[in-house]
Amino acid sequence: MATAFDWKQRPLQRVAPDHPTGTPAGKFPDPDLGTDRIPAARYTSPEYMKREWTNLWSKVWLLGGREELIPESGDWLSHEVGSESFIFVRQPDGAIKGFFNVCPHRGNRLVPKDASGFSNSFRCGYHHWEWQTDGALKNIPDRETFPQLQAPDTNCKLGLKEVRTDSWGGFVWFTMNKDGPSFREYMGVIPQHLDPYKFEAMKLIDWKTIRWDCNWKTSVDAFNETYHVQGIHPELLSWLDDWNVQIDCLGIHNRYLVPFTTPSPRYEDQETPSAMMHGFAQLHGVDPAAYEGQPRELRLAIQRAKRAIQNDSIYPYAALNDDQLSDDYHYMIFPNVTMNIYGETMLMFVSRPHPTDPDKMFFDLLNFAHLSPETPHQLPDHTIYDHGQISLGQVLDQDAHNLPIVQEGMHSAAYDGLILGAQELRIRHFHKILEDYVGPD
Amino acid sequence: MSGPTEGWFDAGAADLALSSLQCRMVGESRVLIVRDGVGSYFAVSPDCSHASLPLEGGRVRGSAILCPHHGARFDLRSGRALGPPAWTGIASWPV
Repeated sequence: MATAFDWKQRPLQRVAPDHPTGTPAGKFPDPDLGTDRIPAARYTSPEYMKREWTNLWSKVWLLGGREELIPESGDWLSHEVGSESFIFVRQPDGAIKGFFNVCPHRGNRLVPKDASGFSNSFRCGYHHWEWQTDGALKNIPDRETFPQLQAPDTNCKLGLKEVRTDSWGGFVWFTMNKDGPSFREYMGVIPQHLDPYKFEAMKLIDWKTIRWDCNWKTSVDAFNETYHVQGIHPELLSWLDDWNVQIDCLGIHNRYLVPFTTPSPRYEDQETPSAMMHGFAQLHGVDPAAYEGQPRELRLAIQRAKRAIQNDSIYPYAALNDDQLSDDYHYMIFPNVTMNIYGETMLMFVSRPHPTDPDKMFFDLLNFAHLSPETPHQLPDHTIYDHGQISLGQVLDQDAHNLPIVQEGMHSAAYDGLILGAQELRIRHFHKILEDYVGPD
Repeated sequence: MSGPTEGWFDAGAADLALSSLQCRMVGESRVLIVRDGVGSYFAVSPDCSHASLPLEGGRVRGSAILCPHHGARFDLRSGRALGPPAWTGIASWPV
């Protein structure tokens, strides 16, 4: 009986590690992280969630928002993580300051949550205590009725409580941690890797938040391995290689490089390009009718087609390596920012914790694209939905359908914790860093 | 534009810069003419529903106008209030 060729054995052609341009593509050595199970309680336990707040969320650098939302002095946006709300406000000198969104008088929110606006000062709607946009106290009505507030040094004690901020990629980042590393130290190699994509020049074209019924880590895990594609997204196997995936651990962050526009070795027809592959060829400048190569090589033809037009394209092709012209460079910035990165667009997922419930979270879905200067662009409204209320597209709907079921199963007395294989190294690496912050179980 | 009373009115030249606004007299009424970031024109009430202060001097962000006094936001298409401190919307007229 003829044995079928095992397409998993056929190596994928990758760009040379010393390719002169673009993101470094060389393989980083895999850390040895053992094979122990990951305790399910990290996903289900309210106690663990409290420890995460104290030792993780309050210590790391987090994404605050998109800078293009607050271009002028006095423009502000509010952003929530867990039980805290923050205000990020553009200063007259162009810098962005961040503050806890709470009035020191009686605890009221100074601005609405999940909102943006513009004001020359922050005035609490409750009793009209007021602050400059740099956080300094401006006015307390009837101050004479507060004997404890007569001393001159009271003002600085009543300034808004500030968080450290920094800017990169067109985003404002922040940390509640007064000490700890600078943003650049925290990010490690990420800026060097991703600057070629010029995120700061991209435009935000869609921005949704979904209230998902699962732990924030259940969401992060779901996008940190391609092992699930065969089960959850079988329709992708004709044009996405879920096997020849290069996983790299990058300090506390990680990535994988996923070959696109080439069939998975699991896909049964390795001889004729699928309809999806024809569509991609057309989309990316390769005439499907004229293409005579193997389906596995279409990816290389697309790279050549984009290389040929790189000097008069609005996309940063010239600054990228060959694989970046066809593949998904998929990065995770610890702990909760996931980016699917292509030559033309970037799809960002931010998984934010619920204030109190480990079985709930907020899934931010942000879509970015390089647009030509002539393309009229308007900032999208930020829309917020319940789990399953709208479609996010077939692929994300497939993930979204699955996640609450996984979360529920992890509560089972019969579930002994995560068993992770080599294709799930990113999850294991993520949990090693998580443990470095939160401590042993 | 269709004015505060019946009929269509001339609301002046379509000469606003992108993401800008201007209060104009239309018939006998003050109307705030707004142009958003992609060039569409809107006509809304000139005063904020929160504290009845003029919206002129406010800013246009996406498809919303931001009151310069207390940060209230309104949808330019419908006049709907988009969050505190304003709870009721403002009038908006077809353009």
